[in-house]
Amino acid sequence: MSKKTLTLMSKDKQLFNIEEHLAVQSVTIRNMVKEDGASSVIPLPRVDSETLALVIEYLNRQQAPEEDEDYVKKFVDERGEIPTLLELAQAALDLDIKKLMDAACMKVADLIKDFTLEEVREALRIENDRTPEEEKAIRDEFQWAF
Amino acid sequence: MEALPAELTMDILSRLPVKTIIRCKLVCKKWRNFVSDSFFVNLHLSRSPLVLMIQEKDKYSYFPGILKWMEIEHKVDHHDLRYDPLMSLDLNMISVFQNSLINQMGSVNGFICLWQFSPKLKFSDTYICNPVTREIMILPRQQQNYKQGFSTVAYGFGVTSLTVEYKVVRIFKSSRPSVLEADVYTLGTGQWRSLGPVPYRLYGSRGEFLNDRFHWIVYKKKDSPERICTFDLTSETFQLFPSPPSETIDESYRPSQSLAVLKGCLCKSDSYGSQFSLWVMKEYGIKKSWHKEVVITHSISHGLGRPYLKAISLTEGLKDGSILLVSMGKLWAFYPRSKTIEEIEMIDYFASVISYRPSFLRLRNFESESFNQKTLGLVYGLPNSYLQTGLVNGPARPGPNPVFGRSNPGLSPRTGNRSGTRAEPGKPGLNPKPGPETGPNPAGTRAGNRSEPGRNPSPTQPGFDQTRV
Repeated sequence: MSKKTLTLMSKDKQLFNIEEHLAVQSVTIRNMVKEDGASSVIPLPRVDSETLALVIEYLNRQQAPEEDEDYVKKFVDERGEIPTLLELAQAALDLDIKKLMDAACMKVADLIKDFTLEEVREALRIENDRTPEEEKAIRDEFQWAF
Repeated sequence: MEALPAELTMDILSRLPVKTIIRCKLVCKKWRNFVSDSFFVNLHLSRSPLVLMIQEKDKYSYFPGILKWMEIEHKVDHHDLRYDPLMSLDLNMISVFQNSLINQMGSVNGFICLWQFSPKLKFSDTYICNPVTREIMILPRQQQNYKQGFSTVAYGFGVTSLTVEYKVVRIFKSSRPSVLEADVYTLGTGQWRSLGPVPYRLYGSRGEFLNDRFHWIVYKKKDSPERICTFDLTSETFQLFPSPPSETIDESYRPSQSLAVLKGCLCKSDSYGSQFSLWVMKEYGIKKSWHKEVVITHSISHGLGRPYLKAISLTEGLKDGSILLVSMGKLWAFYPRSKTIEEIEMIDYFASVISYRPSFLRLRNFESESFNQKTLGLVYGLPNSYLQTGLVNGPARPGPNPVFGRSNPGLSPRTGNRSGTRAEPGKPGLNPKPGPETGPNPAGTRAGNRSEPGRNPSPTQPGFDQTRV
């Protein structure tokens, strides 16, 4: 196994080193490495340094395969704040790390499932784009839901 | 604040309970569209957990009954069933179903096939419904409907994996004595096609669907030991299928045998004397792979009285694979490791139970140019009131089953058009047929063209008011 190291650069220009064989768990990085050897720095313009640090921690895990599921679950559980989880999920989506994205999305779903509509909007950065008339029409139509 | 990518939002949304998803349509315009986006619909279907649809009805009167939505909750060492009255479907409230018998004949991808028989009005009909999207579609009525309807023996409802064609197969006694015939209907084509005589004598009403085939138990034929026949949805042919050895000593006692699909495997159960056994076909189509997985002897099952069990669903919560069984008006769980059996839910004595995977696939996607509006393709919206989403904004509604007493419980072709969930433009859900997409119909056209008074057996039923909705 090659011990070659890659350098990833976050949105805020911080540099992170990671061994290539660990980094290629990300399908996006794997494809970059295949294409150009990725000798230079790999920029990740949508991932901030805090999130990238988490992703690196995740990629560096040393888990036996049979314990991996539990590890991933615990990993996201310990970062149970929705904004952090969303950043993590978005980074995992960009980097194509399926397990991490699944776990983060599952955790967010668990957290929001008992939220009110307003809380859901707030948590998931959504603007309520309905006019009061539309809102009323929907509330009338779905009156049983309120 | 940057908006989340649509893919991420839909991924999160797809992991929520169905009720919550429906409610989330109110979050914003985008989310409302997400719920009908084919990417979301397919993603949700891929992770939608099975629930049980339990049809309770009085065997001796013509009440359609209630489709009770029962969620299976996996705990560490047992399973709980949770009845959800809000997601259940009260067939009695649907006016076209009144004074008739309704049987659930199969379910695939969130669609349920219903067979309706009305002895008074002398007809039988076939419906496909999606309780989640509140759509119900009536298939065209077959010729010589009544006589054959009365003697319908079996249905199969499934989908081809490659071409995604939804097909209903209806097997009935023909006018010739002891000859069965079959018709097939592909959703979206608008007509039943005859398949001619069925070469085997089958019993059991629901064909178990697995690997693009329906499976039925058949009467033994002299020239073959096989006791199972299949119908291939693609080639549309019947053939015998490798079966496990039959354990029933008295071959004539047929009701003791049944088929089921448990955890992706075809299974055959056998009850005889005081023993119940379950055979599992580990590798599909390989005769040698039939394995006797479970034996419930009298010493285990004495609480059940005479063991007459039909295996219906293998729950997946335990590594050793416990099984849900229906018997004597109760649902039982059998735990193979401890060899114990436990009653987990009382149900109606004559209830029928099917596994059902909720989905947001839309029946209206089956509308196509070939739809003859006079004879078929009536896609009704189910009454708005029977379906509720999670009441996360306030306390749970007090009182039992408050849903059914609300306004407009009747079924009307116009109900659906009022429901914004159906009239929504934008991306259609999964396109069930390859080829050019026909855009969703403007809402207004459907009601006018499709209402067909003759279809409604009792337009004056209480609760049905066509003009009001």
